[in-house]
Amino acid sequence: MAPPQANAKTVQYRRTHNLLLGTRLLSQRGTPSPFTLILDSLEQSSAPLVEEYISRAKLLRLNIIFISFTTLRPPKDVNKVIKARGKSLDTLQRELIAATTTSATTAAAAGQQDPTKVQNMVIIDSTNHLVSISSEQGAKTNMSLSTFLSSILAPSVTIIATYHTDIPRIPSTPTTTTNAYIPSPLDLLKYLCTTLITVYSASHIFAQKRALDKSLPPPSFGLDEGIEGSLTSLGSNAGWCESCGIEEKSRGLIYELEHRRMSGRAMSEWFCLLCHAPSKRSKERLILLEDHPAYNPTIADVPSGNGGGGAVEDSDLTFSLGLTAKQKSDREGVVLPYFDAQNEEGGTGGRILYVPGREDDWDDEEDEI
Amino acid sequence: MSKLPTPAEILGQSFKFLPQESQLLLITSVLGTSPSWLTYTLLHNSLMNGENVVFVSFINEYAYFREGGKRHGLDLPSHLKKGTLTFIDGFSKLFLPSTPTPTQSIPTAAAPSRVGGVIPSRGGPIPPRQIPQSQPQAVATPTDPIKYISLGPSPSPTALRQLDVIKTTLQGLISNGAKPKLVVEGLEVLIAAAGVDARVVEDLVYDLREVSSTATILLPSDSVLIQTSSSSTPLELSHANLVLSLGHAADAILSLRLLDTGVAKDISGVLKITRGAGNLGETGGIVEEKEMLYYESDAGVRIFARGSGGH
Repeated sequence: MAPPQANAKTVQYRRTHNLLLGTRLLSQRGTPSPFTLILDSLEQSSAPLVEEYISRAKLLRLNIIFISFTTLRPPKDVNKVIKARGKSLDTLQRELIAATTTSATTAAAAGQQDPTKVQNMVIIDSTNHLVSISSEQGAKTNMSLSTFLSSILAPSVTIIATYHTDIPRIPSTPTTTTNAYIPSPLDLLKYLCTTLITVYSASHIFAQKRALDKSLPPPSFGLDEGIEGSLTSLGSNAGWCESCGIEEKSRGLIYELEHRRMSGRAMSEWFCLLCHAPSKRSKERLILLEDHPAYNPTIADVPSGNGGGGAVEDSDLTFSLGLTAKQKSDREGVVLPYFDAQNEEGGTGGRILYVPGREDDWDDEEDEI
Repeated sequence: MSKLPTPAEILGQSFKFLPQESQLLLITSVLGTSPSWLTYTLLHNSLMNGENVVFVSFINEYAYFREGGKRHGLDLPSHLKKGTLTFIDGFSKLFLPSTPTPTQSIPTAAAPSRVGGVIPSRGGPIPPRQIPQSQPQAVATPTDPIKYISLGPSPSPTALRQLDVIKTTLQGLISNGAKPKLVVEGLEVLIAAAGVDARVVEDLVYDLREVSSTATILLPSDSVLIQTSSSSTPLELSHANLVLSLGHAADAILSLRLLDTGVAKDISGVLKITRGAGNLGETGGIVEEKEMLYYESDAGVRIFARGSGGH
């Protein structure tokens, strides 16, 4: 789906509601989404987003279980890594359930009040591999992808799964004729998930937006670019920032989020995960895509919030530029000459309007002109 | 001796090859842009630093690289003799019956004629008479540095155990916690010619990555093999599956392609380096993405920015 055009009418509403929901989903607070599916490609990996999920889950002391099909160097804050390569679905399921239940018993041993309250976050680094082993072994072991996923889903478990959309599926052997009416695994996953995230490279989205703003056809990237021999484009996994180095910059990305509530109502929104917090006051790195100055140039020079005050307060001045209440009322009391000239009598010409105060040293001679 | 660009020039100054980490470089090329010079660059860098390298090729024999290395000032025979380089030949005898006893001298002497018999279409880059000259060196060393992979005339799933020789060789070279480097060329042959499942090949790569420091995988990326549609054949899908799966795990993707605007007499092609997801973590240093032109000549390989003309 194409990113939204900047819409000033609804942005205020979405800034309060959708951004709040996006932050809550990212930090797994409140009622988190049980199954989050992240679709990524060679242009933008889901790794920075998964890392953000992990670092926020770390703060909440979730038990983080990383199922590694392809990752040899898992993120460092992970509690347990399960190597899934070459294992059958049955074995994987047993290991996973063991890992989620032992976390509860260790929590009980550590003396926490309610061991059943231990939340587990299961991260799957490549659902493509899960799909291929389930289609290979599903016929033998009577275990399909959906039964596997529902077997590990419990109230204390949330799943963050990445699916690489650009890897083509190798069709299984034509002997299995029964699957003619079964939807493709990706469609099934999209249907099962409660939050669907598609990640995009920030520099690519901004380049497309710049082209669209000039009514030019948007450029394609990666495999869509259609250059012989070229898999990825420059700007892949690169992020976008004017002030950060390459390392920090690549922590930023843009994603489209679709969250389905329990009621069935869905919320869809485009977010931008910044590489650093936008200002000193807030640590939140998540903003709406429309609030990013590179995406929405109209907000670049209009300071957000309570008109102009914010910019001054942020600066490191040693003196106060603000006004006290008395200074403000005094300033409003000043009658400017052109207001005086609009009086009924036409004013008094070029006379200087000045009411001498007590401290004024009045010299009579000089005033007799 | 000709000059080759250094890995730092290609991948960026801050990128480091770490002795422990399982880094992955994916080198893709199209027909007409041979990635051999990138292989020599990496081999040169590793061997000069005294690191152990295991070099596996399924599309070229040792003599090809010996001659090519000589042109770039890389003395592969001496490194073979020292034991820092191990060459695993998956080309010469891939479809010959595997010899149960590891008596290397007799099969190696007979190798040239048999190669010609099995795969006649592929002419060796050098005349066969030169091979016996090189073989005595190889035989003289206590552990033969050239190993062969043979899956047999009709490869069966059990024959794939023959590929374990790569893993055992790598494991034998781990010293003081420093893992050897690995370069694998021509894995697509296993899928296309030996009928090996792409997922098996992918798992093989991950298994090998666990016991090597930097794994470099060379694969072709011509658009017919990568840009798939619903009507693509299983072979095309398998190939694209392998390349893109490895691309998702790679630290850097180095893709070679021809110049978009046509042939130029002082430009051989375009080298594009992009960061992969494997490089987004906190280890290994940063791969700098860039697009450079390169020119391969008798004087070596020169890489230069677009517009600078290479002077």
